[in-house]
Amino acid sequence: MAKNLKMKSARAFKDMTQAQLAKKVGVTRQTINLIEKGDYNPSLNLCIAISKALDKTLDQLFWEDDTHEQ
Amino acid sequence: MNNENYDERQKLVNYRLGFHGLMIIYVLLIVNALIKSVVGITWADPIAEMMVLIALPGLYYITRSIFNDAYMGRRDTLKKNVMTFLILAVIFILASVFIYDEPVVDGMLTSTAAPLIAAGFFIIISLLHGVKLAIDSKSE
Repeated sequence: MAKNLKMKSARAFKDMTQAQLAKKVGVTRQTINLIEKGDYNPSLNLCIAISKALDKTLDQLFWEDDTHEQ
Repeated sequence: MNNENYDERQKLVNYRLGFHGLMIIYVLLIVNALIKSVVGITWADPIAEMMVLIALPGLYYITRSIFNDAYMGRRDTLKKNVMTFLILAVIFILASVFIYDEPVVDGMLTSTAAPLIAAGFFIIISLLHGVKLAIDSKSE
């Protein structure tokens, strides 16, 4: 799974650490780290919580642009 | 979002490891039964046997859970866990000293080995927590 650089940059833009974001959405820092590394697929509820915490939409954070789309 | 001690990823990891632990218990029970009935070796009395058969899958579960960051909830800390398990280890070491009897008689593990097994179990767990603490502090 690809790294979630959109989420990482959105978090950095909000000047938040992984621990701060984790606390805000109610998960551990390691879970946020694994989501950003692309090693864990979060549930829809967690995606929504992260999107709200970072003031982004689901699309902006979790939709992968398919460059080969016809 | 929620007030639960474990997040969704930790629960998922723990469910998976719990299933692995169950499978390990099945295998150990079968192997133990074969050793006793087919080979004809009784290697421990029932209490010690139970302790070993519980400890092995328990150690598998705890080791993997610790290193997958799923053992501790959001309200737990590694240092607190190290101390808790060390205290438990000391209690069981003291218990084994006070009720000391031969833990192995005629090549068979006896029930007096139970506190020693428990102490070893808790020492290993606190060591695992210590290793994890060292890894985490290095990576931060």
